[in-house]
Amino acid sequence: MNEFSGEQIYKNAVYTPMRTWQERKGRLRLMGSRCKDCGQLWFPRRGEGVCGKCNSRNLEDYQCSQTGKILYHWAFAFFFTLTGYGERGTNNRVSTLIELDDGVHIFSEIVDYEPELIRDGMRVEMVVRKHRRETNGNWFYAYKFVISK
Amino acid sequence: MNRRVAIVGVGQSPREVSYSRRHTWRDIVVAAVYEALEDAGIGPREIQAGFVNYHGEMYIETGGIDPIISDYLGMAPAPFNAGSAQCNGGAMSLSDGVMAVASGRYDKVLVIGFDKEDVHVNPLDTFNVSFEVEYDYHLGLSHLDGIFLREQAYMRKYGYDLSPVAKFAQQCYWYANRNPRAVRGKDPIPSIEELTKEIWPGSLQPCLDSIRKRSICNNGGAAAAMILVPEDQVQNYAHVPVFVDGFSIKVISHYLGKQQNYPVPGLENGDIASMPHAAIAAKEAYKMAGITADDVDIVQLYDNQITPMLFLEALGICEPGQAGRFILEGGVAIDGHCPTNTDGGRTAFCLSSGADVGDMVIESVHQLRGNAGERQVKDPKVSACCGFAGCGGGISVLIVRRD
Amino acid sequence: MQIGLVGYGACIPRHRIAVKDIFDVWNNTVLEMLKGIKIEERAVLQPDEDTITMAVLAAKRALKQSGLAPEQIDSLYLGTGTSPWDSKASAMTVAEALGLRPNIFIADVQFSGKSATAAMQMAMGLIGSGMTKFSMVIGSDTINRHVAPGDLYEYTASAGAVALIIGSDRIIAEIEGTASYGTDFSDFFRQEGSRFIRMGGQDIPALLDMGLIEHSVIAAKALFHKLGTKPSDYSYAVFQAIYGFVPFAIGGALGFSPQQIGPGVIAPMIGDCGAATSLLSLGSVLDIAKPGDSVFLSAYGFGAGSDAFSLKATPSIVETRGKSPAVRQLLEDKQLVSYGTALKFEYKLLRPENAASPYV
Repeated sequence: MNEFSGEQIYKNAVYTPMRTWQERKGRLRLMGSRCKDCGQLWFPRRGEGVCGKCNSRNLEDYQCSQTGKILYHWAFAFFFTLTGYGERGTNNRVSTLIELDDGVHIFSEIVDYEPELIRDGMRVEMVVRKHRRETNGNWFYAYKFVISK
Repeated sequence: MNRRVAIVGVGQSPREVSYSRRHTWRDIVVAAVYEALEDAGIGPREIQAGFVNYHGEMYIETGGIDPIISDYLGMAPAPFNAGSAQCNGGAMSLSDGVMAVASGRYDKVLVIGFDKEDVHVNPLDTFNVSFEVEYDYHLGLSHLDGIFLREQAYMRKYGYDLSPVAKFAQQCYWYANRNPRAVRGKDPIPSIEELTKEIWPGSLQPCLDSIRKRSICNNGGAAAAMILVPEDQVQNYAHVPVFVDGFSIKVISHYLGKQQNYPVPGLENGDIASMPHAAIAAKEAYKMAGITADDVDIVQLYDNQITPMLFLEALGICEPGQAGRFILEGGVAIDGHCPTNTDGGRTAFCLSSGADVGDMVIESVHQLRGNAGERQVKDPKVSACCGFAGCGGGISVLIVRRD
Repeated sequence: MQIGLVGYGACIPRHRIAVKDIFDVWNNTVLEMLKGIKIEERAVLQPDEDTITMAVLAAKRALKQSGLAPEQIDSLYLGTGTSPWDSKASAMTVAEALGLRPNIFIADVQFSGKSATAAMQMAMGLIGSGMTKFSMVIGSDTINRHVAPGDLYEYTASAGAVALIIGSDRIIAEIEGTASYGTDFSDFFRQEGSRFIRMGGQDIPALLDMGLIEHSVIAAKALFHKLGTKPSDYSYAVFQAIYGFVPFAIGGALGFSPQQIGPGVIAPMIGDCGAATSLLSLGSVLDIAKPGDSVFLSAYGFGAGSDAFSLKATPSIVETRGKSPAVRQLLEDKQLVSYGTALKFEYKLLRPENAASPYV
């Protein structure tokens, strides 16, 4: 009975444990890929795929930096059922393009800070948060960013 | 190309919200196609093959549509190649249709783009599966966030506030007021104050009220259809033939972070305040058509907040960073240097995703034929149509021209 | 072999609620009584915070303070009574998020408020036997999410996490010994599949007397007897402070002075954080301890049992200063919210099962 947890289940973007397991390191740790031949860094990961720069098949796991700075941010006015962020209401989520210290760019959101006070250029660091319930009822954890103090 | 390809018939489903609510996706496809058949003056059984695009199965909550469409249109056993590429899908189906005729394989081809969003209980759940998905959509971030971040990047890089975006929206309403089919056709033009209202004054963060007034207007479901024939058959048709003389689709990563710096030649000097792949597409399409940016008379583009500025610069009509000024100085008005979105665009005419590029090409056809009524631009010969998928993962430039 | 703490880190949710705001809604007790038991504010979770997210942040801070790399950790035991999963170990998600090796010894450990100290005893065994070199123990609980609106425990039901790294090398506080005492007493419980922790009865003084106070006192005396120490040997004494008066009640019964007890009392600001409660107090005194200071640590878990420890700060403790946020610094980083927001954020409002919009 869902009222037990109070958090709603979403009907789409069906999850299987296999899919979550495949992306777990990227979502929990910002693990990306690095081409061993040309050195290009990639996030999201490209696994056993192809380097988009030199077409090499020689990719390895790469731990992206977990700190960086805000390039641009937008005080989020939209809300999406899939994400269950109705709890925060409108105008209370801030999406952002972040440049990590190793040059990788991340599209994420900022939490734990007054949206009006956020400025481009502020230093940020990664945290792990609970995003929502998956279609099978399970919990879904992944990164967000907070302003470094 | 082996043969030049002309558009000889165009049709669009009624765009009233009340119509879409009461009709299925099959009905709206029939409405668009049969208007196009009548416009061309041919019968349904003359169509040899169809090319259909839509946002994706999740979005229309149906799949395996090619036999359904062919049967429902009374065209079985003609094949319908079906594919999805979000709001840029129309470029895919149109370029496929053009290549099918140009190659000589077919002489009469139907191109349809459609989408039906109001089939969902909660469309917000699915309309977004058009982004990288694993690392944005599933983390609660939408392609709209990506577009607004592009807007922030453009404004801050070139020193603009929200007024160019607002001015463009106003212009769309102006055109829509002169388009009997526009969804917002009866809406008064919002003021600049209404369209530039910020959450916190001076923050450049637009508030929901102002965004709503210049947001894309989705009427719930729309279809756009075109009929293509080779050049050597255009004399059989009543209207001035309009040729698809150039087309190019180019892509970049669909992850916003990678769009900031994609490490391959031609894309690596771009960032999210530009669309380097659109510039490549424009060059290719111009070359195919044998024209330059100066030859473009009108533009029909996918407008969503900042995208008009990004396109005008990618098309070479404005220098990087100058599109905002161009718009503020009236460059896209009916008497401007480059009238843009003369049907009202996605902002005020209609947005549907699948029919978007089709709508752009159809408006180009009306303008080039000279029957655009109150919003007719003076004697245009070349129109550039620009499609945009998700947050610019895929874009297209198509050159439509009359002799 | 010397065994002791190598590093520690804490995580406290930023949002708090004042007990007066809870009282204004329910009016189910006497406000003066709340003042008497010394509870003023407690933590409120944000919609995206839970046992796992707090555990990850506390562990990252402990790793940073100790200077160890994640790959050096040989075991992880997560002490919690409020895991998001009844079956499936939250510790595994925490380990993946931290980048610990896949071949470590790992599990969740549960004995309500003494889940983490029980895990500490396990870690001591692993290190003492040579099975591990560095072991991580985390206490993380979200009691607030699991207490029903209108329950008297709502005033103190809070959340927090503390991570400890234990080893036989690079020790900042030696663990001199430990003792435990437990009996089967259902002062509080939460049955399988239930959302809310319930009190065994409404006579709270009786539950505290026979549960928290009695078991803590007996375990403490067992420790003193085992080690040959007495209360006056210690610089600090920290307890399972579910209310602000509890440390003074237990400590006073044992013979500790208010000067030894006072510095570790943080309950008025933060309430009952379950397995993290006593460890947050421990962290607050380690933040100020000088080399040679000894600390008496007592934890209690309802059901019921208590673990007692004796620790002594080494000269290396001064090197930890400034490397991660101090507990009192985290306590002061706060934002008060209303009761309605607390209910909404902690998912205590009935919602329809299938989302048709963000709000319904």
